[in-house]
Amino acid sequence: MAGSGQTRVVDVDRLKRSWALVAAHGDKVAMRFYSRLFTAVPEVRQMFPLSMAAQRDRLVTALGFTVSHVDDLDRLAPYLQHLGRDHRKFGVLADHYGPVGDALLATLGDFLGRDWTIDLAHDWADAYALVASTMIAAADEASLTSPAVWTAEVVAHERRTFDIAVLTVQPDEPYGYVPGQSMALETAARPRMWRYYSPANAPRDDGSIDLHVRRTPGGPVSSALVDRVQKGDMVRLGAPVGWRLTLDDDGPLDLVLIAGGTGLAPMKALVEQVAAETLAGGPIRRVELFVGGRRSTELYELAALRALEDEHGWLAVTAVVAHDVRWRSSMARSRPDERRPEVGEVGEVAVRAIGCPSDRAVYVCGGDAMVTATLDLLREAGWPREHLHFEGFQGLGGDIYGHPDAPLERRGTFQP
Amino acid sequence: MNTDPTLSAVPPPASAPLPAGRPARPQTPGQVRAATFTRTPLGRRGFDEDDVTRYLDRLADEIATRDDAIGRLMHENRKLRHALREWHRDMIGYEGVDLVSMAQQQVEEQIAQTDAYSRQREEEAARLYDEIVAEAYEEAERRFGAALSGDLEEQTSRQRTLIVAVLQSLEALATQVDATRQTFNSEIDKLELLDKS
Repeated sequence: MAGSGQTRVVDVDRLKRSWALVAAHGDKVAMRFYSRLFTAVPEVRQMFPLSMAAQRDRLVTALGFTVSHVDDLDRLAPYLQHLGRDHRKFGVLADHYGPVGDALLATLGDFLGRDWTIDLAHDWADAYALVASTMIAAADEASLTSPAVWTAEVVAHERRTFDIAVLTVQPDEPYGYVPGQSMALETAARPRMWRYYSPANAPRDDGSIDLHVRRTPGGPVSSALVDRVQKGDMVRLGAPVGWRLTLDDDGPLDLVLIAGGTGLAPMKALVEQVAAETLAGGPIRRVELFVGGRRSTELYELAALRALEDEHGWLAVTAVVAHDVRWRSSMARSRPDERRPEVGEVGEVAVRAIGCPSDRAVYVCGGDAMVTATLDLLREAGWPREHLHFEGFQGLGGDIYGHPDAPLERRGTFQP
Repeated sequence: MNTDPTLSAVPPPASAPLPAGRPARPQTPGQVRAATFTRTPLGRRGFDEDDVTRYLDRLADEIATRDDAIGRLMHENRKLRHALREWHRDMIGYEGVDLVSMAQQQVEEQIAQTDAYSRQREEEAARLYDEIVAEAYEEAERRFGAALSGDLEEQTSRQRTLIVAVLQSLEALATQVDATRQTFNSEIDKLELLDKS
């Protein structure tokens, strides 16, 4: 990058100004970038799904974050290292970074026209070289300790409701994760489309992992996982990611867990972690779990939760349904002692029940709307921000990939 | 570069002419290592100071010249690389790139259409499912209340048949959607083949 002892300094302001000019063109920029990349290196096309719309958003977000933090390496470096490690599952190799850089520079040139000077091009080339080398180094380092992808066999597929299935997958190699983390998953039925799911159990001796999947209308991956995937099918898993919902050793001991729909998955994993730690002589935590569904038939895991509640004195489970539709039905017959669930939004019921802020950590997971509404209520009730841990299905709170604000460091010390 | 104290100790080189009779070509590393200096007169130890200074001046000059040349070459190199990229950009041309963009856009529009269609159908199916289940519960409770368990079973099996029918039609739809996706896939494959040729 720099030559013969003269250190060339990148003009950061000029770099940022030029990106602002380019970014003003919106989606066209990423469209041109990928078209340039695929024209130059056609074999790269097959690494991407057919529809590139979400991919383009991610690219622009990642570039924007990188440019705005190009002079703040303390924040940029961990982000890029994560990005580099994360790209391993797509089959990205060090050789791919060259053509990507060429396509990027060419695209910038396309949009900047006469403003694309030699000096500016050199600045961008330097900045890109830094980005690429950071990502490559992190990927290389990760490859020493973990595979790029894990192949896992679906060993159980249980359809719990019309649109919710519980899958158990068995990875071919040990898959170490911490309860509360999630992992990207790809099914052969929908190649190159990765979606994040959260293990619904603490790590087991046999290594198997439960997944709670709800079919999103029009969602190609979730509907394949619910409707088409069968026992014996294979899926691929990326490395575990995310530290938003993992237990914080420095936080309060007692926990409030609020789950909307399949947002129950990470919460159930946390409950199992607490059970394992208690058994191992860890501190006593009191855990209050609120689990919500639209109607009582959607409380797909209630029987298992009640069993956990019966077994552990420190756990209290409250079921909440938005619409009280005919409770006295199959559920009432199978568990005659089951209480009638609370009616309302799970967040409202939970915040009302837990009352004033106390020394408890609150975890919220569900659809973005449910998470936002619940957080608003918690803040209104005066709960301090540092006690709130949350994640939304549609990316609220940040998945590390498209949302750089997510924490990149783990806070807990749980050893799987 | 000029901050190295050992270099700044050397007097300014400009005034010192090259010693007469020596070739004007830059010194090679071998020549530098083999350089000899006149012994000082009057039996003092060491080399003639003027001799050494002249030689160091000459080396400093040559290094400066080379640095200039390297700087110029690097600048040239940068310009050439830039020009090469621009040329490459022109060679690929906007037409090819724009064609790929257009194809991508068309594919995405069709996918969006299919997705919207399947979302609509799935939502309808979910509503229908809810209605059937609600009806079944209502009916079951009514009959349960009338303490007619045999009828309940018959009713339940009828509802199950209905639900299975709904699921089957959904599966048929999923197959249809998948077939559409496969078509898109082969279209894109063709595009890729075009790109490569």
